[in-house]
Amino acid sequence: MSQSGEEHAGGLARAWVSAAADANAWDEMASGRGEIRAHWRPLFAVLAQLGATGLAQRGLRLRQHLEDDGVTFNLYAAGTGRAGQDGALDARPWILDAIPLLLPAAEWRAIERGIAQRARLFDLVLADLHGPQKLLAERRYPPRLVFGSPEFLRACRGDGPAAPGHFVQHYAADLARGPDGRWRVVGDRLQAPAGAAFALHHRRAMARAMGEALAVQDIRRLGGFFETWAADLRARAPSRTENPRVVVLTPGPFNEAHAEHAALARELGASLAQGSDLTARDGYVHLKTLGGLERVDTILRRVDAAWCDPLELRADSALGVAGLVDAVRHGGVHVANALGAALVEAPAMAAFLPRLAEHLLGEDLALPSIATWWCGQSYALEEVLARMPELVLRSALAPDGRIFSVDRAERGAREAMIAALRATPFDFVAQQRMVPSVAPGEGMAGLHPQPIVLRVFATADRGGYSVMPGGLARIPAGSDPLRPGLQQGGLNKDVWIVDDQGNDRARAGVALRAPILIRRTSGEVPSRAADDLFWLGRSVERVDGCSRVVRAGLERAVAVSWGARERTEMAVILRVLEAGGVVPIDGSAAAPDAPHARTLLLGAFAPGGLPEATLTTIERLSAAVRDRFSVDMRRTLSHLLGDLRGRIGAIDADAGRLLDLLDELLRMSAALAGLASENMTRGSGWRFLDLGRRVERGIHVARVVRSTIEVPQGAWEAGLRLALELCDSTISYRTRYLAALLDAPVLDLVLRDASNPQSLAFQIDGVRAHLAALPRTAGAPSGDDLVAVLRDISAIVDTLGGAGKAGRSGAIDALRHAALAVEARLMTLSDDLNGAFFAHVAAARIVGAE
Amino acid sequence: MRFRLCHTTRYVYSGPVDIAHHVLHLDVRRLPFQDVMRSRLSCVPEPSSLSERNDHFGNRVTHLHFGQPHDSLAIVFTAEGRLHARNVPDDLATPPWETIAAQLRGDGFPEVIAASEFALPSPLVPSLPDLLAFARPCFEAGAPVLVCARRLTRTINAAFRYDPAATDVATPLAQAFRLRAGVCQDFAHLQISALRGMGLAARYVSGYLATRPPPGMPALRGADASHAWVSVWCGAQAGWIDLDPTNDCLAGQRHVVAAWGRDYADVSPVRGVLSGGGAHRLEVGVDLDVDDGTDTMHGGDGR
Repeated sequence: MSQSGEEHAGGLARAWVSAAADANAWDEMASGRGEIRAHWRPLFAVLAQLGATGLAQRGLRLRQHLEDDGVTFNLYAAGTGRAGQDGALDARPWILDAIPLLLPAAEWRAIERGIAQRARLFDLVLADLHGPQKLLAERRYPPRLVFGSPEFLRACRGDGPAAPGHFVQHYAADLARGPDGRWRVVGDRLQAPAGAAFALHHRRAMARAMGEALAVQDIRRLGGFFETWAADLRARAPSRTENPRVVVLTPGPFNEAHAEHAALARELGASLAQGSDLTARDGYVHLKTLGGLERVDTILRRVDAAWCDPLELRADSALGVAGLVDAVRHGGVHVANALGAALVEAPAMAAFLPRLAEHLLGEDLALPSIATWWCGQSYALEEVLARMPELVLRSALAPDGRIFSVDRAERGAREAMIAALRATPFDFVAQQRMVPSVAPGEGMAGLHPQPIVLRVFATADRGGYSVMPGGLARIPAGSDPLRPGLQQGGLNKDVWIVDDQGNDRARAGVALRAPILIRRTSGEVPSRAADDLFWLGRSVERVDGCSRVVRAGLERAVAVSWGARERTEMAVILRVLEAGGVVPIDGSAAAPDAPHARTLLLGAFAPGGLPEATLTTIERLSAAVRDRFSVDMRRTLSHLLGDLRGRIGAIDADAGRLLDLLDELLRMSAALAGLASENMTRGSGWRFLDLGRRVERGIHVARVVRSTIEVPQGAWEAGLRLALELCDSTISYRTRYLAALLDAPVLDLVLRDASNPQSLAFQIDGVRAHLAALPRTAGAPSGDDLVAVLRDISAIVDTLGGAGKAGRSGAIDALRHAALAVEARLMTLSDDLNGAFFAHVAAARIVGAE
Repeated sequence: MRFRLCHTTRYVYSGPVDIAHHVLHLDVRRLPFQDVMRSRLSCVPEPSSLSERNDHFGNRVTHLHFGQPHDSLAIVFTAEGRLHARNVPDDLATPPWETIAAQLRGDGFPEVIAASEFALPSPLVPSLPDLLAFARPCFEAGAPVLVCARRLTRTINAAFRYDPAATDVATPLAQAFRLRAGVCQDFAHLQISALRGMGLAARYVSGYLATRPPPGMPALRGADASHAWVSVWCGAQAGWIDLDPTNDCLAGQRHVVAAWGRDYADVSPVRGVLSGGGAHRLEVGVDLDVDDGTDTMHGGDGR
């Protein structure tokens, strides 16, 4: 380090110590004497070099990487509690601090041992409570905390003993370090703990934004953890197949952690599925794919257990798989964590854990929980009432329940709380209030002390448990370590385990693992994903067509001159938009005036209109199928979509702003087409995406043509010019025919020239090629009927080319009918695809409770 | 006393059902006072798989899976057995209700673990303060538990109107209480909620009731029906005692026990999840013959 760097570091250290000193909290970075702890020194030197400005720049870069990676956490629409199926997604960026939390390997080993021990213990506790319940009979755990818990699933109680490791496949714990320097567990997570995949994203983003800091020390790597996790999930497959299928069961794109579910599926080499993508038959669970049903061996569930099976668990759940519990019961599928594992998340469990460890493991609890009293026993209640000022009260059973500080509450609320506690003491636990440790984070002027809660992750590994060498440090909202839930908001930090023995061990660990099997995934596209991709393609193309037409109209409406030609063109434009349901049919289309047309066009893009709804659909579908896209494609797509939908609200009747937005929408559509063609493998997924675009563009061309031919004979040329513009074929026509506008050549280019990617013939060729390449399924459409209509259209165009005045009106009538027929056929193609490929996606419903 | 039971469930769908899963709680329990000689289940169409198990409460449960398209489903359950007189303790000899409540609560750890499960609220039986106030006068200080429980049975029977039109299966308990009307399921849930509110353990018993036809008329098919009543924990000596609030009586030799749980949701006789099928029509018929009869009783909600 240079002289000035050292001085700078000295100043930084002094500033840090004075910033952190006023709290009673344990300081992660500095010792009590104001010295930077040994494991922080190399990073501290890097931070000193960077300075406050450098650090701020790194922070910005870091968050940009994360946003590009699609690391977001959705918030449910305010007020409603959850977003509806067609509601808008509010994706919130996930904020990562540029300064990691550092822990020395020696300290980490103690945490690892403690976490692995807790995972083993919970597995044994669950096997008993969802089995013989000896712990109840022997009065080691209160029956009320089992029978009264919504996580005690009577349907999942087994007759015999469960295999070791059955209940706990993975486990996460939230830890906080007290002023005494000891880590304590403040929360146990076994339902569907979030954050592991984001921790990996954090590390990748950190490697790019803070690479030099990562390089100056031996930091343990995370990748091996996911290989271990994936291997254990595969090993749980009930049928000993070569290539077991693992799926990540997600509640869907509206869940706040959906982005993480998709990331987890990728890291674990699993398919991402919603409940409706799966079906239980004859004791097995299958994934519905385009190629038929594929047996599922292991389900990593991100759906809360009670919602996993409407048949035997919550009947009002649309997120589960009917018959799943019975398939598990018969060993046809393994669910991780086992249904019912969240029973031990109850805060009251902490009060009994030390004695359970002694009884079930013959060991002391290596990593204790925060001091906890279950108030259902009179001695505990007395003690809690006596020590109230140093305690908080919370639900005995609900891990995410409200946390109440009696001495900080208003007088009335305090008395009500004490009365509730005395009335039903068994519903409460009291926990020691705790000041969490602080670590440095990005601040306005350098380093800023932040309270820390550490989330660590473990996976089952060959009979034991392995802990991810790292994790997620959270800066909890309101700095209360008991509120570290990911839904609460707050900042995140990467966690670096500083190795004291070099990195050899970590590297060797990776090398020892069996190579991952090569899989073929084509033909295994889940039906729901195919359906979503089809509609994504249609929606993007719908925005494209609609933007093109509205732009053409708006350019004319704001132009200086408004004459007969403009009136004719505007009539065509409004007819196309009416046909697409973009503007209301009000009879003004026949002879529009400029201000009225302008109002109509601006109104089409008003909030609540079709373009906004279509953009909402695009956001929803692209979120739902994000696991089918490459990293680059996801990044670009999220960039492109940006806040396009949000900008609709800002148009505010300003034609200039709308024109800018239309240009961007067209760019978005073109870029997506490019990405799909360059970045997607030519499997069924790509085919459905492209099929959607072809179908929608075919409909667009048909609408343009039938709107154009309504033009009176005298204005024919203006109509033809517009048709070329709306079908993006003006340049092609000019290069071929120079200036003369004649109906037969124009219609030839727009309708039957299969070399023009904007023509109807091109769309129909594409549709047929896709249909022919899809898996053979009964009832699948062939598109042959489309070819027949195209042949008719071709004949009509020939007639127009050679006909005199007499033949024309008949030919135009025939063309009108043919265009309508094509449009109608393309519209019904969706239904045919649905019948052939997606019918088994039909929603389940409940009968019998009547 | 011999009984013969036939329970028929018939679904007719407006379109074909592609896949169906059904869970049945139809079988009758083997109990000291209830021998089962024969029981049989038959389905049209044949299920693609059928399995049986005992649930958490010890009830026999049947799982049916239909993997082939079908547009109707008939499930016929028949059983034959013998009912014996139940041991009913002297009401006055049962322990005071406060003693039972204290045993169930314990100091964090109840003295009777299995029964304590039924002292907690359950999904369909929340605790209702108004209902508890209504029931409290039945519980005099120091009174024997069975005296109080039977008084409550009588009070509910007198204050509530048996009316199949008043409620349906989705009616919340609070509404049935406000309406002062309902069917056997509501009567049972009301009494269970009140008993649990007093700290006692009460379970929901699903079964069948032999209802006697008017004099001179033959027994009608389907005139008898699924029935539900209440079982209350009266201490280790007396055990569980069955009370029928719909008919204000102790359950006796015309009550055949099928299954018990915390509430109806634990033991609904036939429930299923279907894919496809469109609209459906359900017919349920129960025929229970017992070779003896006394006064007419209410039942027959057909749920």
